[in-house]
Amino acid sequence: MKIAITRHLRGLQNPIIWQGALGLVSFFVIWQLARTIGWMVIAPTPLEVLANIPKQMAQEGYWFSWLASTGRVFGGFFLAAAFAIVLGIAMGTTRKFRQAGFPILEILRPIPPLAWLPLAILFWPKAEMTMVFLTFMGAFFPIFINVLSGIDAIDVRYVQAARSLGAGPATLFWRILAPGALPSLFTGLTIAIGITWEVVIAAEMASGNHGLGYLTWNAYMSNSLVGIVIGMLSIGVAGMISSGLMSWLGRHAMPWRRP
Amino acid sequence: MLNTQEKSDILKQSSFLGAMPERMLMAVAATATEKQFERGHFIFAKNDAADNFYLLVDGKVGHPEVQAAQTALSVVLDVAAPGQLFGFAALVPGMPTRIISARCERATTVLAIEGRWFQALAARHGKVGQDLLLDLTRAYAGHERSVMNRDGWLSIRNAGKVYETTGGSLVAVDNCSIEIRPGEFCAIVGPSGCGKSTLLNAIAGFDSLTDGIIYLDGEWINRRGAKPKPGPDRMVVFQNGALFPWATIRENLIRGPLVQQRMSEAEALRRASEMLARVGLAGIENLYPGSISSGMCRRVEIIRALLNNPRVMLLDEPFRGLDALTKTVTQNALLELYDLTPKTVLFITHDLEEAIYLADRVLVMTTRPGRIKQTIAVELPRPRTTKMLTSPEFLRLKEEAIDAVHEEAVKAFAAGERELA
Repeated sequence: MKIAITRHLRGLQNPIIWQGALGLVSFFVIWQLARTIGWMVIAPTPLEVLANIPKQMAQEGYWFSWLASTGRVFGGFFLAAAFAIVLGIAMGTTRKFRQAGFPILEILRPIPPLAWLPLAILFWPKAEMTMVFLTFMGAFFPIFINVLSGIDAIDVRYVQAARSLGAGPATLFWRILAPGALPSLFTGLTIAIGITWEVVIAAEMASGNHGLGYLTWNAYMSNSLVGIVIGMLSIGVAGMISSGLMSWLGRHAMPWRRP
Repeated sequence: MLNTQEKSDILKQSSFLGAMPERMLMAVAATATEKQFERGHFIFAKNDAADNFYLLVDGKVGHPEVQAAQTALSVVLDVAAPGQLFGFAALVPGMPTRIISARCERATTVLAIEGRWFQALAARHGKVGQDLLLDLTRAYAGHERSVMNRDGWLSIRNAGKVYETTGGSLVAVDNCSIEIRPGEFCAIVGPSGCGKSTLLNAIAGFDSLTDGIIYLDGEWINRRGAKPKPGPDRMVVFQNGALFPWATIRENLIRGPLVQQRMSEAEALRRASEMLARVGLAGIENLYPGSISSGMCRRVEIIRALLNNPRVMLLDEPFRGLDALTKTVTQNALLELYDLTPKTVLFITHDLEEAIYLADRVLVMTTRPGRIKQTIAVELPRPRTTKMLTSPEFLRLKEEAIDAVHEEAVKAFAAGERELA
């Protein structure tokens, strides 16, 4: 117990935390000052926002919005990760499959996820499915491309060394290909989780009936400026927590990359 | 006493020397000295220095070690036919001692020829002479393997590699033949891009050959038209290192033997720690390669290779890019491990000093197409010490090698200029 407390105290001595806090405080101070001297009159002041946070949070459906958006984001994200990893490995390791599959994926890749919206609304019977599908489309390509390039980037020397050491195909996969492609995979996952939040918010604004995007849009419809800002900040915090989660996972999955 | 004509008649009966060109044959006949021994006399004994080789004129010579061996060795039990050659050790560059004795079983007459002199003579006679020396070395290496029961005889015969590129075909290695005896430390030097690494990749089984064949202990491991397979009998230490960055030092070291099911985890761990301690790296097992210096990585990689008990160690410029001090430490670690368990080593480098310091024999490779231009036998005693780097013998060898390599480097440079022009 005592050790844990000392560790936390020592953590407070870390200048990085204080620098981060300073940056955060400065941002809100500048925002407040801008309002005081009469700029940005359309936006509420940070103090107004702060004062309204408890009320907004207590509002019916606020936490449900979090849950709904998070569910859509991670539903699409995990589905995309599963498909992209399997397909990426298959195409990264078998040349014929890659040559056959790559052109069609290259055509589909530049299509923005939201361009799928009309088709998705017509195709999927439920709005929920549409939104999960859109997040899936947003997450799939960054993960897929990064798995593929991660496999390509594995130094041939590692494969040669492993074969000399007597590795068969299974050992080669689990001990060389998988760990070798992991850094690139996590780059893909981090990009993908950011994109899924962008996509889900836009989709909710367009066709949802709950969720953080809907919440923000609804605040606009009811002319609540504070509501809009709090909705935006909620989305920002949700995105930050998600990418924090990804880098935490990455650090634990790849202990050799820790400094 | 035999006259020169009679001596040359004896030489012509030899299966090895009989096909020599007339001029060479007469030169040998002129220097061959006739010697007579009584029954029971040892012409040479095991561990003697090998200076002469012999051709039987009359009588019978036996090899007691071969005769005593329970299992049949691929070496003849005795020499009884006139013109039969024995005492091959004297014909092999850099080979200091006899591995078997020769004892007269009755009164015997032989022709004695000095080995070094013959090697120099053959080297002056171009392709014919070089091929003859290769044949003799091959015969010797095969004998050595079976008599000494040592693995790691590497025989590269007429190896060639042509890369087909869009701009035409590029001959990387052409008609390259090398014999490396079991347990020999052999270095190949040559300018950059001369095909050294291509040759090493072919031996390791990473790359196919477009011509020729490579044997390890009499079995082919790579030949024209076949898909080679790498294996733990030939371990490679790569340029710039190839320790797996995602695995701890422990995992890097023990995974090979475990995958091959050659030892238990406990034994592999014990041996790994033992060898790490020997090169001054005790207690780093739990670290990742990224957190130790490149010099340390190279030592770990050599240990990783040795733990698999390979027959041949292939080192591809392993110390490139290390600073001078780290290089010396790492070289000495390699020498110490080599002296401990002499494995056949093929060491590729463009650093002459390093090649001479480490190897028993230095081969100078020509610029594309790569083939062996010159052999320099390094007769510095082992264990080698850093002091030898300034000994007169070392400096003499270095000068000899510099001359040979310089010529090639100039050629390579000129070829490069031509390609760019």
